Amino acid sequence: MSEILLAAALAVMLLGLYGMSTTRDLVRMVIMMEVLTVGAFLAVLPSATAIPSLGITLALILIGGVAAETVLLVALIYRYYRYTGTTDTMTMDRGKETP
Amino acid sequence: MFDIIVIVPLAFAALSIITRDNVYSAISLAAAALAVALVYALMNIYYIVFAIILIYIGAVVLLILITASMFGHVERMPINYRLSVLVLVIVSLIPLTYLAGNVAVSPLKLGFPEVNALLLSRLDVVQALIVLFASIVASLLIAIETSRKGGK
Repeated sequence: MSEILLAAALAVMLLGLYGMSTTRDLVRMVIMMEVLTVGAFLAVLPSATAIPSLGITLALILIGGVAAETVLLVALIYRYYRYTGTTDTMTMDRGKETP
Repeated sequence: MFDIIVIVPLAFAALSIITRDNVYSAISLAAAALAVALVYALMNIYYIVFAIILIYIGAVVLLILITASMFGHVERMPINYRLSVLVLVIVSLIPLTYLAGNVAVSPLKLGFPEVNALLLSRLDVVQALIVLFASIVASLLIAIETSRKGGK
């Protein structure tokens, strides 16, 4: 059973990584990051069934980290939108690799 | 039964990538998280179910949904999205009825004494809760400062 769970978790995380790497929209990148987090929730489940306190601790830390990260990223997206009027990463002219 | 319910978050995750509109993508994300909470509920780990539903879906995904609504453009919902959501909801209802039967057999398992005993006996859970609330409060304060700083 845990093999099925871990396979599903890996698949969801890979889907999130794929979505994150194929989009140019900042908001969509955050959504795909959350898809990756959903996969992480599934990956925690086998340890939660084996040792419940460990699973609860891992899940709470995961939720806290994700909540903090998301709030900061959304605030940064808001700042970027106020400056440029778009959420497209192609409009960024700094922090990129130069050809 | 368990194999079917594991497929549901996978399908909703795929749906959130297939959908072009950010709003529908965020709604699919919420459905995927709800399906994961359902998997936890099937394994009788109700504390994580409450945390996922209250904190993750109720706060984080809602914030993302509002952000997607603000900065995205709303398209008409395509018919295949409606159909796929309908099919997934029907598939999700099968284990939900199974779960409802399980809870009805032993309703006392959800009572508060168990939560209190867990909190008293497991100090690591209390520490994790402290970290959780501290990080959320700190990030909220920093986010408010970041969005208010300067600007056009």
